[in-house]
Amino acid sequence: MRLAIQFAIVLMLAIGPALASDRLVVDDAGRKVQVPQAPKRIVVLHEAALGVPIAELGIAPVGSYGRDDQGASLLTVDFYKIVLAGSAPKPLPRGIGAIGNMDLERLRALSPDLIIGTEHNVDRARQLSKIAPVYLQNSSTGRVRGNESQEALSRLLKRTKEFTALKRSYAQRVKTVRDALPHNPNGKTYLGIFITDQINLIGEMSGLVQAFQDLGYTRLDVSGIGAIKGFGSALLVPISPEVFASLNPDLLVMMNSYGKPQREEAHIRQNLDRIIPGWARFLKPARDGRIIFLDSAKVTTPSFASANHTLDAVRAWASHQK
Amino acid sequence: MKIRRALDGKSVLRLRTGLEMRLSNLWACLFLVFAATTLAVMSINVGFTRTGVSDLGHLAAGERLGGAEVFALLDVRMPRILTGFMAGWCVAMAGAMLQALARNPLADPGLFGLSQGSMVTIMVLLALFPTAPRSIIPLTALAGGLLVALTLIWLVRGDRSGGLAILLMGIAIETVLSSVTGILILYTPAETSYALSDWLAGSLFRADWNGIWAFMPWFALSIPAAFVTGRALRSFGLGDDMAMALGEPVPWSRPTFLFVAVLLSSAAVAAVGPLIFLGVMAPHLAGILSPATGRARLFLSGLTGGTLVIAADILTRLVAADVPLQLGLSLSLIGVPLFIIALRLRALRTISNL
Amino acid sequence: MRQRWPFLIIAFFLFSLTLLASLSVGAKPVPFETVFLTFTSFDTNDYAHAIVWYQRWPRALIAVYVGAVMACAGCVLQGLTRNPLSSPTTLGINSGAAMFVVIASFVFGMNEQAQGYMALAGALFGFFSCLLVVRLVGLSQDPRRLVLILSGALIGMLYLSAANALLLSDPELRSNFLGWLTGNLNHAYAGRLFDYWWIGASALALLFGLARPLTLIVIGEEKAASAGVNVVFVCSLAFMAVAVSAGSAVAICGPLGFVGLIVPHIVRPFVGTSFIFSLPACAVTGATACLLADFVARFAFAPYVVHTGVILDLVGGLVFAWIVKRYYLARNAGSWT
Repeated sequence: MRLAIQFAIVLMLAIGPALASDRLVVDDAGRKVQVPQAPKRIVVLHEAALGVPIAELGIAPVGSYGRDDQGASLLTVDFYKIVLAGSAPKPLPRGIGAIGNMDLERLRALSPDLIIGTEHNVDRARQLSKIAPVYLQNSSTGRVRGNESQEALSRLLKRTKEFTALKRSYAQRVKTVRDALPHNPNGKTYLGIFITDQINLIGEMSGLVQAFQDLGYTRLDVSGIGAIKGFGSALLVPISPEVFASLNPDLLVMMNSYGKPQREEAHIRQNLDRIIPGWARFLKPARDGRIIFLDSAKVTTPSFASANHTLDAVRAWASHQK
Repeated sequence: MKIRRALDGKSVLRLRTGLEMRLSNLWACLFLVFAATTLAVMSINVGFTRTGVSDLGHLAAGERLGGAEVFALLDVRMPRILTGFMAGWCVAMAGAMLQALARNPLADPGLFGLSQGSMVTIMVLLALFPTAPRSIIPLTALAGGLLVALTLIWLVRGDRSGGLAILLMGIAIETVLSSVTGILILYTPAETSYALSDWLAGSLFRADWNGIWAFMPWFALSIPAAFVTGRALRSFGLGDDMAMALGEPVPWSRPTFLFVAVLLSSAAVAAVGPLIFLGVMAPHLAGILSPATGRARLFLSGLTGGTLVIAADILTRLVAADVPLQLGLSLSLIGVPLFIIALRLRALRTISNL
Repeated sequence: MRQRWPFLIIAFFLFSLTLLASLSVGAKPVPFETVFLTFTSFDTNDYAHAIVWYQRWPRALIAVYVGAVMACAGCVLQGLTRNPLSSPTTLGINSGAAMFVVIASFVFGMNEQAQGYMALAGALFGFFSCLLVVRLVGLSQDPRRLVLILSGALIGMLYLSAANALLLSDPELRSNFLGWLTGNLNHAYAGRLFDYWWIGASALALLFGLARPLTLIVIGEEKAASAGVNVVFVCSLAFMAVAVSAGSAVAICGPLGFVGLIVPHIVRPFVGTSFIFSLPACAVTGATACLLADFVARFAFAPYVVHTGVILDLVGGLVFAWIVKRYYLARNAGSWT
């Protein structure tokens, strides 16, 4: 009995202070999570979808899946450096083991106070909860649009002030770019294309989508023209190259997959030449110069930085038009 | 306890209960236990946190340790070793049973489509009901494996060719199920697809004490199962007619053994994913240590399988920093060279015996 | 075998019909006369012409190449191994090539051309590792040579799982590879067809040239030897040709399985086992089968498009089961010579 009381006291002493400064939130997977008032040591399980938006809000994650112990990226693309450029976290977040081989001991050594994953990490949540509270944030098309996940994260991390500030300067930029456009974008359509070894329509979750939406464009409705649906795939929707050339949005946005290091305009053209030889002759937006080439790595994260990169590209295109 | 000579002149150890054990098998068993223990000790010492067996000793003696060390030892390494060993044991034993059943040295839970069956049902569950409670995964795996086994039995009813037809039918089912897996991996959203492939590659990431307690009954079941089936499996090796003549009710025992193999293989799939090739490798390696039959073969195979998985896990964690090495891949890296050596040795032995 | 010539003629007729259909039908229908016009007087500014010439024609050529090569490979393998279940897929050739391509790209970061050559090397590697397992297991009491199929299936499982596990190391690169790894006819890889067609063509020519000695070997090795055939030499030449040509097919469109298993079984009842007839028949029927599978993959599940490889695997597995049922399970099981 005495032992039990002692144990209870020790237990209360241990978690007492934690309770005082924690708050109970419900994450997107419906789990109840004790989150610290102001998390300082965050580990993210997805660099592009979570790491970049959080780093932009001013909290440098201490750990990020897909990097090595020194913080160098193990992937083709280092999203922090490419998207955030000068304001990338310094030092860069450290890794938690190789991709596909997450190392719990490495993760714990970073002593995180919050682990943030996407809804797809639900299988790992139980193991990771032993190290720190695990919050799962919806991050894929169909569940969130544009930059919605960044806004949700800003509320979770008590960074709404920073979010509003970013939004204000972004709105300013939207206005200047809108004024520089050769046409009034209201009622005009755009379409984002992502090129792998086939042609894909991009999903709704990215700074790119946010930027075009805020400029006033609407996404071209492709439901009637034989766009191929994958079984439930919403991130990239493959579309038959045969109908592709007959598409005619007011603005066509094209990018190469970020699985490859070459993502400039010349390479996008080269890649298209392979899949649809002669596209430049048949695609109406191509004939009329209504194509914007983008670097997929820069514009596909749900962050203002990505939206701003998109705005820059639109503006460069607009200045070329006049 | 006495040492006697068996009918073929080999030494056997006879326990007072009447249980007999060949000395060669006993030595092989001791060797494997020694190897497993050594590897487990190595595995305890390997990892990002600097800690090891000595710390484990301190912990057992009641000393206080840092949080990182305790976490590494008790929450990561020990569960991985135990889960890995049990899964390897079960797959290898299932493989040995199936080999005796099909009277073919290349039978494997994967080749029979059993682990594919479990895998496909798990994947369908994860893809269609991503929020389903994870506790039903073992049951799902079992259902899938059973479904495949029943289909197999139904397809090869009235089989007169011995174990061959069931094995070939297994390959056919495995192919069909693989294409279902392919559809799931290709047409689910990229992230879901990634999670599914992660399952397919086999992983000890999910190993924890709850999982170990859940696995324990199946593991424990394998021991009496091996005792019961071992003798019957030996008579199977002589052919259906001979087995019948020895009093083995073949039409009944064949499905029963298949059922036991399904239990073992699906328990392992639910815990760590399919361990391809292990069911073939382990019995062959065990056969090199000691050319046992029946029960002894089952137990030695199980021990070898468990040991191999522990070794593979060490390799996986040694390179964890930047080389992505899945459990299944490192298992192949370690096991396949050993397997080839084992087969070669056996071939040489057969030649010298001629 | 009076049906030989009629079968060949009908097969060729069906082949032309499917080829024409696959050029004409698609997401954007193109009438037959436009298809003809594309080849007679190509108009660079007509989009229909561009679709037919740049997209459907290369795609159809890939299907024809892969179908013909795989079917002939399967036919020769089934004859020489005296086993109805042999095919490039079941003997580890496809999976070996697939694994090597993934290794080339993920581990060594090779470019696409080098990946193609790795596929050729991988095909040989897969086939030889299958033979190695057979040799090592060395079952002398194996009248139906099943150990070959078993070790092939094992090797196939092992290599494909290794390839899939390697894919996990880079999620972005993985999505670029997934389609290829399940076998997909995609005209984007037509460049590889233009690089490798000569491999398949010369392999087929070699097999056609060896048709007579090969047939003699299948009838009986001693008989063949007494007729002056160097059995070992001819066999190894044929195996090499099969492995290399199948490897070149994998390099083009991924491990597209089971054409090699199915087609010889469709053809054999009509033309018999003599390679002189069965090889050309297999080539034509294989090409037709591949075009058809591509057709089904694109339209049967509209508005969804499935990969050709997945369809073929599914059908292949079922046919495999049927063959087992027919040759190994029936009361008076079909004999195999």
